[in-house]
Amino acid sequence: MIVWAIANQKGGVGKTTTTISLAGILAQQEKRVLLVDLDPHASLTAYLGYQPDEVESGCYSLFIDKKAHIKPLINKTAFDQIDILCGSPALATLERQMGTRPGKGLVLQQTIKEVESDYDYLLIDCPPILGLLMVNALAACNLLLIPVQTEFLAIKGLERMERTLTMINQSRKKSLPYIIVPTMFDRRTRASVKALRVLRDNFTEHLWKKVIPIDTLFREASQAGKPLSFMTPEAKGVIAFRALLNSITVQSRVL
Amino acid sequence: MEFKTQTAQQDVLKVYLDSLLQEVLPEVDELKSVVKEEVSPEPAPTISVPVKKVVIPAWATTEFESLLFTAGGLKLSIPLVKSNGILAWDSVDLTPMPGHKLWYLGIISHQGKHVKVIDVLNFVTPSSYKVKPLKDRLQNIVLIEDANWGLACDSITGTLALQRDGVRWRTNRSKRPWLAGTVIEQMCALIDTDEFVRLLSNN
Repeated sequence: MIVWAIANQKGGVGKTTTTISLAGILAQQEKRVLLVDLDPHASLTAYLGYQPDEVESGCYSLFIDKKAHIKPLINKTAFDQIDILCGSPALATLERQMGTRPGKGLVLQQTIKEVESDYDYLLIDCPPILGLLMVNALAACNLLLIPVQTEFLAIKGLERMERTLTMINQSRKKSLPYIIVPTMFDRRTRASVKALRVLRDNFTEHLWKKVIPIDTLFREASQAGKPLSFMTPEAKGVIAFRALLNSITVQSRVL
Repeated sequence: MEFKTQTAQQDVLKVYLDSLLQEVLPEVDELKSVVKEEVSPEPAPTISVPVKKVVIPAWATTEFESLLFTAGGLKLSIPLVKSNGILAWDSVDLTPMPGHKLWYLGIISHQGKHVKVIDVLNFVTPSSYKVKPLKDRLQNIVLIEDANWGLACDSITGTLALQRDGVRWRTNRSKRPWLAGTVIEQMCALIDTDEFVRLLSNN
């Protein structure tokens, strides 16, 4: 099972869109995908038709109940190949309840072993805050995708995210590979073009060479509760995410 | 002052992360339940587990520099010590060699030598992967093995100083013997040039 975390310490950069878009494309390639919504905002959960406030089983139980197993907590979605471990606002209380207990950053890493053979991919949508939940995601994944909106403040957030990653790597005593994904690129705006240039000049090593363009169809897909690839397979946003997936897959195939 | 504050904050963060990511032993009640389930009083049989041996080439025993390049979007690297130079694709006159495998592009003349040039991407990836035509893609040729071979690639992306720990070395080279390991942070393939040349010669 391949585990990717989608994280950035800045909100609104396209984390949930990246997660659901990749899941949709993978599902259409007949891959079995488990989504894990670690964000207390639970946008991914709502996207797929669940009411975050009414979720009875999900990520929260996994952390709060020491004997919890992951399988009974997983929910089906309207898409055969995609299941979800739902997020809920209660996740925001975990930090207070157990944020400093030793080893609690490894809960997810340990529990997902149970579904190792049930899924081809596990994608984790992270909260935009460094804390227990993000640490769990980074400890559990094999690859980190950092979506970065092509605008000035988002680039500042990226620097912070890189620093966080360095510290987590030091604590884990191993390095986590990561790819920076420029998102919401609008070639008509000077700010977007300039931000992309800054990314290319300063983050060359880890930067994905292409961009995810701004595409209003993403919003329509979220209203319809579908990954965009299920709604408009040839949308420019889908084509871009397909290219991203292809690029990661080609790299992984050789490694 | 600002520096001090930042350091203090980093220290706090480090303690927090170290604690969260600490491998902890199962708690006492969990251990007890495991003990209860142990019904067999017989000693456990000895199982011999084969030890996986990591293969580390001689050039990587100390810190080494690697040359990073891309081929069709694929990130690759070779130890700099094994490279004999880089040529611009436009500056060479390639003589195609028809009848050979697709990855064998032809021969160029360089400093009195005939350099056999290959398309790295075509050699290392399955042929199902669609790529742009060669003329739109190739920009450089990396010379290896005393410039007997040239690796045609898209672009040179730089060099990188690597420690042994910065590479996930492979324990089994039966598949893709040319792949020495993965440069962890860059998620980039590190090529064992000796093995690579051996495979090229055999093919």
